[in-house]
Amino acid sequence: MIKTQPSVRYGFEAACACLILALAGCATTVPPPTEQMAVSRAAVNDAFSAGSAEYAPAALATAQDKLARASAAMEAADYPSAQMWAEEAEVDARVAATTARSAKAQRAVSEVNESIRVLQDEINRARR
Amino acid sequence: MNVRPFYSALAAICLAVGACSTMPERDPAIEDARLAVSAAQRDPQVAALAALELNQAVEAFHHAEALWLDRGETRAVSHLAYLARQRAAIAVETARLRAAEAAVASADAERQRIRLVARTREAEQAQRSALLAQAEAEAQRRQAAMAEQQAIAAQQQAQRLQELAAASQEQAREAEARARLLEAQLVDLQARRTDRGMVVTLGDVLFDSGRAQLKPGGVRTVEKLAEFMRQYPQRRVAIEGFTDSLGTESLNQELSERRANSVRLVLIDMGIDPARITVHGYGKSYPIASNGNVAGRQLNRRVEIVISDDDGVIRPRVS
Repeated sequence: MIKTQPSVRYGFEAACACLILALAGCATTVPPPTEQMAVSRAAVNDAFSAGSAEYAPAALATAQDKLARASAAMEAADYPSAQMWAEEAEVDARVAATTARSAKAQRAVSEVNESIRVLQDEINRARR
Repeated sequence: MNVRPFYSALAAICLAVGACSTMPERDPAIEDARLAVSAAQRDPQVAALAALELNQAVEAFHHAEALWLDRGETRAVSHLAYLARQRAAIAVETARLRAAEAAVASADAERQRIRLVARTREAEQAQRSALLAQAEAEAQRRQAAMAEQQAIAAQQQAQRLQELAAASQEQAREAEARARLLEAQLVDLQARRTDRGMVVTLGDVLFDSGRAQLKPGGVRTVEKLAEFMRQYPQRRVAIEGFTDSLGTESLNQELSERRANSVRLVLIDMGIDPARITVHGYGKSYPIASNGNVAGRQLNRRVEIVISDDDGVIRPRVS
C-alpha cells in the first residue's frame, strides 16, 4: 500500500476547495436582472409597434420566445439564464424593429420615387 | 485508490494552464460574429450613417472575444457572440433605414422642386392664355369698332340715297312743274296737239293781206314762241306755210314760203339759233278747210309751226 504524501494530499484538498468555491461563487453572485427584463420587454413592445409583425415576423417571434424564456428563468430564480435570454431578446427585438422601420422606409422611397415619376409624366404630357 | 483523483485534478490544471498559453479552440459563434461585425465595418454606409450602432457592435464583439480568449464558458461565449452578431445586424439595418430616410427627404425635395417647376409653368401658361385672350378681346373690340364705322357709313349712304331720292323727287316735281308750265305756255300759244307734235297756227289775219309781213299780233305770238324756244333749247321747230287755191301755183308757192320765212326771221331776230329752224312752203297743198267759200279760204291761208319733242325730232308730214 502506497502511502500518500502529506504535501500532495494538501494540494489536492486545496484544488477541490477552489473548485467548490468557484462553482458556489457562480451560483450566488448573480442578482435578478430586473432592469434588463424591463429593457427587453420595452424593446419587444417597440419592435411590435414598429410593425415588425408584418416586416420582420421571424425576428419578432424569436425575441418574444426569448423574452418568455427569460421570464420563465426569472420564475425559476435562474438569474444567469434570465439575464442571457433577456439580453438576446433585447437585441433580437431591436433587429426586428430596425428591420421593420428600414423596410417601411424603403417602401416610402419607392413610393415617393413613383410619385415623382407620375408627376414628371403629367408635366411632360401637359407640356405637349 | 487515492492516486486517481489526484491525477485527474492534475490533468485538469494542466489543461487549464495549457489553454492559457495557446489560442483556444475555434468557436463557430465567435467566427460568425467576427464575420458579421467586420462586414459591417467594411460597409462605408454603415460607418457613415450608423457609427454609434457600429461601435456598439464592435464593443460587443470585443467583449465576446475577450471571454473566448479567457476560455470562458462556451455557452456564455456563444451568448456574447450572438449579441455582437445581432448588434452588427442592427447597425447595418439602421444604416439602411437612415439612407432610406435621407432618400425620402431628398426625393420629397425633388418632388417639391418638380411641383414648383410645374406650377411655374402653369402660371406662365395662364399668363400666355391671358395675353392671348386680351389680344383676342382687342381684336374683337377693333372689329366691333370697324363694324360700327361700317354701320355709320351705311347709315350715311342711306341718308345720301334718301337725299338723292328726295332730290330726284324734287327733280321729278320740277320736271312736272316744267311740263305743266310748258303746257300752259303751249296753251298760251294756242298750240294744238297733233300726230306730229304740238302745232301753233298763225292765221291769215296775222299777216298783211297778200303779203308776208307779220302784223304786230303775229309778232307777239312769234315772240312767245321764241321765249318758249329759249326755255327749251333742245326743241326745234318746222315752219310750214300754206295758201288757198286762188291765184297761180307759183304765186301761192312763193307766198307760202315767204310767210314761213318771215316767221323764221322774227325768231332769229329774237336770238334763236337758225339751225333749230326749218322752213317749208307748201302752196295750196294740205288745205284744212274748203276753198269754196271766203271763210274756208281764210282758214287755209296760214303758217303752221310744228314744235319738236324734247329730243328735237319732228315727224315728217305724211301726204
